[in-house]
Amino acid sequence: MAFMIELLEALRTKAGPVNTADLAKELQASKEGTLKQLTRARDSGNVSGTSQEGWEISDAGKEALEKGDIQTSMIDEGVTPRQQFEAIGRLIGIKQDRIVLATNMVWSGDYEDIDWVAKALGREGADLADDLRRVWTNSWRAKLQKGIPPGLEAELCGVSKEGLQSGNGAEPGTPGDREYIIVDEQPVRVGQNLGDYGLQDAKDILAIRAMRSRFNGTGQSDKANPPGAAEKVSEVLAALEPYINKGTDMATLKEVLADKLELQKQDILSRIPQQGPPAQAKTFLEQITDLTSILGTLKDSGPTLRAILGIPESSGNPSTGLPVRIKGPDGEPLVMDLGQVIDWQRFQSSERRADERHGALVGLAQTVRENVSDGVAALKAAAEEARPSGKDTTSSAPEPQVFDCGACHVQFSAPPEWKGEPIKCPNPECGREYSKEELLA
Amino acid sequence: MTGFTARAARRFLIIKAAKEFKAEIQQAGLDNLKTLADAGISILHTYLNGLSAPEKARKRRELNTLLQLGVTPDMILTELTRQMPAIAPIIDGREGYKKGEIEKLTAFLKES
Repeated sequence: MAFMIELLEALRTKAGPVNTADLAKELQASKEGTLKQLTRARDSGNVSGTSQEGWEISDAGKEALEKGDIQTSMIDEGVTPRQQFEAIGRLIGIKQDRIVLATNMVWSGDYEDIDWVAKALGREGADLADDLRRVWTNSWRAKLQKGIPPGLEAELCGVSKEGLQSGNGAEPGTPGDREYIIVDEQPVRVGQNLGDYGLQDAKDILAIRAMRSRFNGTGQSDKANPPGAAEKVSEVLAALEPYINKGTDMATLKEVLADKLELQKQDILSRIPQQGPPAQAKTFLEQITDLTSILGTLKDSGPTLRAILGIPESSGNPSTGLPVRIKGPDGEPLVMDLGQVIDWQRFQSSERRADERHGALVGLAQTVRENVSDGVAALKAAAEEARPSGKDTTSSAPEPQVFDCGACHVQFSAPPEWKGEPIKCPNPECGREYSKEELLA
Repeated sequence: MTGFTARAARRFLIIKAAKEFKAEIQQAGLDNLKTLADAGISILHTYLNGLSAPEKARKRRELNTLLQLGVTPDMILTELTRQMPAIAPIIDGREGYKKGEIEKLTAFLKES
């Protein structure tokens, strides 16, 4: 809604006169701008009052508001030629005070005369650098949809007069010439090196614009759609703009344009739904079977595809060259070569195994440290027991050897610390004496 | 296993088992045990009865294993006395106290 309508709407809701400042605050506009609009509305009879008394909507204003008969002007919309001129200056990056000064100079004459604009901006008082002045003048000329005046060719095109006269520029009619400007969606020839584009470039740009407007038309019917082809075409235009405006080599420009258009064409085609009856949904098993067959085909045609695409034969890891996204040590996602990822994982696994082995060794060492004293004590005790004079507390003492007398069958044993001397049978009636060999036999 | 190795292993087990008892005794406090012994109450019986059912089962299993390896309660008590000379007056100083403790332990091992 235009500012004037908002202004009248705001006044209509008020019971009494309203201060300019309050109104400006409510409309989130500047006080000066609001006052200007109120004065204009008062002149047209829609508003009554002054800054001192306050402002009120008149009956005529109410009626016009109800009928929708509020005519907005360029000034209402904030797009006067002066504002546009200043906006270009701001866009170029010229300081605000210089913009105001230069605009005043330009508006002191015919601001639609490019010769005059160039002259006014070139004055000493404007204090503008040559390149900024050239860009500003050229942009304003393009805004006014005018060709380059003959006297300004050298200055605005960056071509020396000598070069133009000697014919160093492109031949007439060659693709490198900038002979055309676009007016009302039509290429208009304005003279050699006086326009913005060659004929073919102008046609290409118009074709892109036509496509853009077509997609814009379809986009309006479905605004909920995500950014689509129209936005993509806008991106193409935005990407090409620097090349177009700065006199880049046309061959390069065309190459870039062709690439961009091809990309967009593929993108657009991919968005067009396929016609025909919907295919029956495949089962998971069928999908797997299809995938397997496709993979098999790919494997068969791999060498051919490699030859066509110019991919060299891989000598080592077949996964080398495949980018994969992994999480880095700091948690940030990283894109790495698959072969490198596998090597990295292998390294991590070996490190983990080494850590586990180290942990197990440390645990074992700890256990040994805890038990070594007990073990030593156990060994000492066992050695003590094993000694003949040692007292074995863990096993029963060996029983003394018992012999049986062959004559009277009386049993007897060897005396303690027997060294092998002959022993007599303890039976007094027998009394037979046995040698060591006889006893042990 | 050779005789010496088996003997060393048995000794090691005796030392470890005695150490466990020593830790339990230190936790309970030697003075308390003395009081129990003076009152004629079996220390081992009191300790084993105070265990939870799973703990009892675990202790029984461990002690039975030791018994199968030739480690008798008498050996453990002897080793315990060696490691804790302060407990010797309690175990060896009272007539039949050690024998009673061994009987209590043997009875505990036979419980199902």
